[in-house]
Amino acid sequence: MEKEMNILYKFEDNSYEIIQLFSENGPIPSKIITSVYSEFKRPGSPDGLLLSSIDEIGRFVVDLLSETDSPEGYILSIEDYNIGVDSCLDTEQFREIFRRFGTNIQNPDSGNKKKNLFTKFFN
Amino acid sequence: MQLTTPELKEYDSVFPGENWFFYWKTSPALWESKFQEYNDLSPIFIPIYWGLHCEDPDQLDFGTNRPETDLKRLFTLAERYRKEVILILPITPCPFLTNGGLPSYLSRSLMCAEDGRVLTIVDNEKRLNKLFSFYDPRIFQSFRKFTWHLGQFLSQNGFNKEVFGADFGYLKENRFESYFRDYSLTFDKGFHRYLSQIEQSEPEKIEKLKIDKLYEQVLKEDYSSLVKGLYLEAANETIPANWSGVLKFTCLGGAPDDIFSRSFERWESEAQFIKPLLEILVNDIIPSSVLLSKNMKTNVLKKALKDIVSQSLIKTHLNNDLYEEDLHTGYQPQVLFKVFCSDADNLIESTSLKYFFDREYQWMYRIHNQPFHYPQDYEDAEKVHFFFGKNLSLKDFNQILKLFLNGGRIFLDSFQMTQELSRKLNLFITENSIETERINFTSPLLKASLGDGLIVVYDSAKLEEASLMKRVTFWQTMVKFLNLRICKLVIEDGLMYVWKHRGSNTYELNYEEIRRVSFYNPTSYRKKASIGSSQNYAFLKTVDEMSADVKSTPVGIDVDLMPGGSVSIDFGYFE
Repeated sequence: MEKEMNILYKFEDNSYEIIQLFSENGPIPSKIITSVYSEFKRPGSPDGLLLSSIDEIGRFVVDLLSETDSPEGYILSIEDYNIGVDSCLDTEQFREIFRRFGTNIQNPDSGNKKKNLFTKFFN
Repeated sequence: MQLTTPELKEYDSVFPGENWFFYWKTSPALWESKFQEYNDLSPIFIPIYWGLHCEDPDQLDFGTNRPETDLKRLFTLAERYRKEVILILPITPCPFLTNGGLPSYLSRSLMCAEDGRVLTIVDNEKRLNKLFSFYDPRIFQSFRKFTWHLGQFLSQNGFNKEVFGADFGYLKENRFESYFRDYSLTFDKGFHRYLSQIEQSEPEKIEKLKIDKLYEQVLKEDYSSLVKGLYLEAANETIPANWSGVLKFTCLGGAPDDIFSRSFERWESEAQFIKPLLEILVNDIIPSSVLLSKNMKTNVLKKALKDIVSQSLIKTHLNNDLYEEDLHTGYQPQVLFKVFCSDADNLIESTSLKYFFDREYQWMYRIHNQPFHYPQDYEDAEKVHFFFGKNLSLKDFNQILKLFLNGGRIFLDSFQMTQELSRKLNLFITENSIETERINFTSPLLKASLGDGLIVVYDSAKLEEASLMKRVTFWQTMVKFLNLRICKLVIEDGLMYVWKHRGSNTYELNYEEIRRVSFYNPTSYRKKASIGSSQNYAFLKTVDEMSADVKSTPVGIDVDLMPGGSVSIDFGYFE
């Protein structure tokens, strides 16, 4: 289970492109991303993770959170990222950028899941 | 509980990389002891920290007011302890310096990576260094003023130390991208000023831009080269007696995306830096680990850095005749192929040449992006040279023919080669009665040979039309014909290796040279490799075994490496 997911996007040529997608453990496996993105990919669209609106990014992230069993994610635009980075002096502050400047997305399933004996011990 | 005496953290920040000395990171009172402590034989790189010497726009300080800026004392101490010092003057934003090295009063326009993100680099103490655009005209004017004062300071004090300009950069899709390249608004503003200027002087370019939007990229490259040239010219003109040229450096962990992995402890690992280290080597750039913390350089990366960023590698780049003797006694990376192509050219990728090298001759090739020059004492004539006709000038072409006449083996891509050069080649063949052969094999081929000299002309456009498998077969066949004698290695995924060689000494006269293969296992799994026996290689010894097991078998040598393990194996090579 990923703790939380960070998503960085930019707006260009009338679409939103996700340019970074990671958790504190590293990049989200491309297999998972491809599988979730296949629901959103428009036919004939160029390579990359392109979405039509911020709402759609939100829906994509919810699906991704659900797939990776992560409790929450933060989405951040390049512009807000640049503002955030400007005030950071070290990596400790940098790690907080997504939380401080991003939009929080909750995994609707995470609170409802019944914990079995194993998850109680291991999560 | 720690049982050993902890090493002082300060040492790591003062000497953060292989041979770098950061004089501003220690008290001037300790400079003397720091020079005494430095026991590496490589010359010491001392970067000139512009921002430190220029806190105020109207005042430059080389030791008049603050002892930490006293370069005169610094150089005198280096001389006293007979340390060879090389001054490094960044001509691009510098990734390991605050504000990229700029004085704070000039740090106004942040530079951006291609995706629009502000370019921020994590240093060896986990601080963030923001880089600023060198396209800000105020920066250029101040840079010129600073280098003028530096030049005056060096000449007035009689310091004859070499000053190299440093072009810092990172690897982008395995190719060098200078930090000079900027995608910020400051760059765009400058670019539009440039377009207004060329509208008068070269209107045909503007016309072409109106028709072809992609041409904008070409003009942006032109503009970038023009501005970079101004910085270089300024340094060359203002420090004429000491100026020794430009060195390219790539600091591991300094790519725009590295900020993410390097900010999370669970994500950053030394394994992620081994492959980039070898890619840097292939691109003929000096690698540096100054951005990495000491903790990151404990096992396999430490060994790889020690093996690869060696004294002889540094000295090869410094291109100094005084070092020639050292170059023959120290291990040098084994290079069989030299590819000359510009940064903008993708032909090495599109013809699958790089793919072929990476598959069969990994790390045994070098990509040079400057034009080929054939000096009289050219030492690399025995290597196989690759040239792309597309960007060759007549001058370059003459150098290539000179190499051929002196026994060089050459592959020449005729795609988009000018008529003039094609005619020159045909005339050259006829005039010298050179034996030729023409065949068709994936591409039309012309093979011309004279003594040891060989030139194979092919057409990359035809090659690009073929499947990947056909392209690889093409290169396999071409290279097989060259009869290169290398040991066949079979390695498991994730395992890294590199070949090096040195001349044989008086005790090794049976061999032409000694070849060393070093294996590194940066993964968390046990990995195996095997070296097939070859009639030109005689096993000599294993060196620096670390969590590794080497066994001789009837068909070669088996190597077993535990996670983080490494080992080197020496062979005597004879023809």
